[in-house]
Amino acid sequence: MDLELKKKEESGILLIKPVGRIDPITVEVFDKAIEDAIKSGKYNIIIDCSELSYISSAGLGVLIGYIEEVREKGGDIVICCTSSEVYEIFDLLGFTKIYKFFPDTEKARNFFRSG
Amino acid sequence: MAKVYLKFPAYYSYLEIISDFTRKLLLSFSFDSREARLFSWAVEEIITNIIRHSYEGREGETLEIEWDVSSGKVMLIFRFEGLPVVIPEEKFNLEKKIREKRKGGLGLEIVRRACDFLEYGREGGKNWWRIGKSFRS
Repeated sequence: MDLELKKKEESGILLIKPVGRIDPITVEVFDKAIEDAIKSGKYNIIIDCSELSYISSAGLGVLIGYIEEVREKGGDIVICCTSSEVYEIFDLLGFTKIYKFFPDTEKARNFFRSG
Repeated sequence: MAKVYLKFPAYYSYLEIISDFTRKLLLSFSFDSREARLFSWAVEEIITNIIRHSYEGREGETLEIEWDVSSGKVMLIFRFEGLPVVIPEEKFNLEKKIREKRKGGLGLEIVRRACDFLEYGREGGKNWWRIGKSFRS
């Protein structure tokens, strides 16, 4: 299955919505999207997982690689709208204790607006 | 009891198929759906690790997998050539990985947490992984 990335920027908040699977084949697309965002000074990033069916260790590694840089610049990478199956993957390795998870995009946006 | 043996060229594009087969096989043996899903993720991560590390990213190299569902548990054996597997000795620490921006080692940790046992060995230039999980239906 391919990965499609939908992006939407609003009031300084970038929403990245992966559609499909993030696995060893598709991870580069996901990696580049976050890398490009940071390079262009976007540090408030929401990963909308509502249409993400799977994320492998390679995809989790991308989140590990960028979170410190983004937080150092005063932003964050937050995750929202995960299915229970995808949430389990994050939870299995403890990501749910370190990253902020929100049930919907509005709550994720409010986190940045209030921040 | 079910035994399935498959020998095939290992491509990343087969990950989803193998994972899906494993999950459905476990469900047919009354595995809890969450455990079946976790175990099938572990299978994806093992195959990814084999291609990426033992075969140094080369796809199409030979991989043998044996599924054995019996006696209240499932066991999978992966046989492959290539480089020996280096298993990190350091205890998994996500916060440390984030601080050091180290992406490696996540896949094997998923396998460790999703399975009841995990063994690696190498004999006559061939590597093998053995992973298993008991029924909790």
